[in-house]
Amino acid sequence: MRCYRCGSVLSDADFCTGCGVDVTIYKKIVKISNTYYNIGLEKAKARDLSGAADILRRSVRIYKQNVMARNLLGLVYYEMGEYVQAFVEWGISKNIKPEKNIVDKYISDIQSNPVRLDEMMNNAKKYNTALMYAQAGSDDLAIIQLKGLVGKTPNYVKAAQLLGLLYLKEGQYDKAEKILTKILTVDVNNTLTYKYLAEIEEYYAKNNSKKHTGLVGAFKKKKDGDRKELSGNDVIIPQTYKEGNPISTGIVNILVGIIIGAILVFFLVTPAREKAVKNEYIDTINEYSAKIAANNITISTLQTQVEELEAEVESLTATIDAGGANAVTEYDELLAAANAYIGGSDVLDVAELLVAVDTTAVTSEGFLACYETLSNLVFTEAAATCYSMGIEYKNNGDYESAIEYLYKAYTYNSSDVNIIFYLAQSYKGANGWSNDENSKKYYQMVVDNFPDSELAERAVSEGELG
Amino acid sequence: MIDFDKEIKKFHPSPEIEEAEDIIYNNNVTDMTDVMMEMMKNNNNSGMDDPISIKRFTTR
Repeated sequence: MRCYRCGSVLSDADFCTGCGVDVTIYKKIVKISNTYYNIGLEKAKARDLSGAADILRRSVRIYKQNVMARNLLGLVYYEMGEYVQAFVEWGISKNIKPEKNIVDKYISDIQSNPVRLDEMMNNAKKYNTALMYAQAGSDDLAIIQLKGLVGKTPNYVKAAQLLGLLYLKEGQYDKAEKILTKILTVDVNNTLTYKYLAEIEEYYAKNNSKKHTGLVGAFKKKKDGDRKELSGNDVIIPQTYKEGNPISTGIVNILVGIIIGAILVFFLVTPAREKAVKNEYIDTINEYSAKIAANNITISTLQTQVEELEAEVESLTATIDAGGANAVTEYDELLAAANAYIGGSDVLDVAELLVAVDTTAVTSEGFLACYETLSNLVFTEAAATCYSMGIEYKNNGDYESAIEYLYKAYTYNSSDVNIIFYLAQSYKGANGWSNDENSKKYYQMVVDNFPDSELAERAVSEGELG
Repeated sequence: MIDFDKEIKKFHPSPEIEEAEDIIYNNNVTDMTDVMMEMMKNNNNSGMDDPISIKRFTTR
């Protein structure tokens, strides 16, 4: 203790050894202030925060330079959620004792988390706004504001009490009981809290709606069992304060985490997943559409090929059928000619039958060889016979008959120049010995095919081919 | 039964951070030592100019 006048350290004497001033009353004042501090400390240790605050306020009111009492008062305010008031007490303390003051640690600890500091400093504003709402009769707005505030700062005693009172006013006794019970664990002997709880007790007693016996007493018992006592060196500033059942709190936290996770999944992950699935689905559809289009083209191409092949098959079938039929006919005709020749028929009749055979319709070598043999046997003789008859008819002036037989002779043997020449002469004779188209054709044939023959020159002159 | 309106009026606004500085630097609350000093000053004005005389006065 130092002298209030000169600052010298005081002894046990009633006067200052430095300046001689009487310090008896001064010492008594400081002693009373310290006594209050000790009482306040005991109350704070027992977590009777409101009682401690009341006593400590008296201590600093008696002796305003009692730094220890002021620091503890700040701590008590801090624990009750009155952060600005705590800062005020610590600020005054710092002004009184700038050096070696524990509040330096308190303030630096708080200032190390600027976000939390900002929240704490805004608590008073929010509380004042809620109080303004409540006093204006806007209880709903006040409750909303206070719920948010108490949710963030569960140890804000005054805010919780006001919220409890508003719940009581609204007739929500269960909620009021819950919030007041909770805040009673922070400030175990708050008379205002007990007053409101007694009101709830009275309500339950009247309505018999719930068994509430010895409510206030139960809280008193609870305070002795649940709360840890504070020591003089305890620092309450950091967020070491825990309340409630850790198991139930843990379960609640897990549930909240699950709900937040579900909401995030619903609003963030699910739309992205849906979009991805949708895109995948669209891609699949496009892929299958492309495949279907390609398949359609292939089918169309194959169908066209099938139609073409079917047409070709039909054509070939018709050709084969027709060829087969013709071949059969040609075989029949050749066999008829051979049969007539073997049977001794007239050579001209056999020749007629052989001329009718179409050798182009048959590719069989045996058939062709047979036809060749028979034609060699028949056509030479038939050509000679027809030539003789044709010359005879020509000499007789029957040119039409001459043309008939000479033409047959030409058909059976086209390599005889005489047959061709006299065929041309017969056509000219039939035309009154004037050349016509047919006569000129055969004269020309003589000139072209047999240029070295004697008849070639005559053909030129008679046919007037010059 | 609580009169809720009256009860609500008993709640007072908390000091806000903007007011804290003024409160800290204008903390002119009078305590018992101030009263004591005032008493001593009054005693000095009435002829007892030496604090020691106060001691003598009080011890007598």
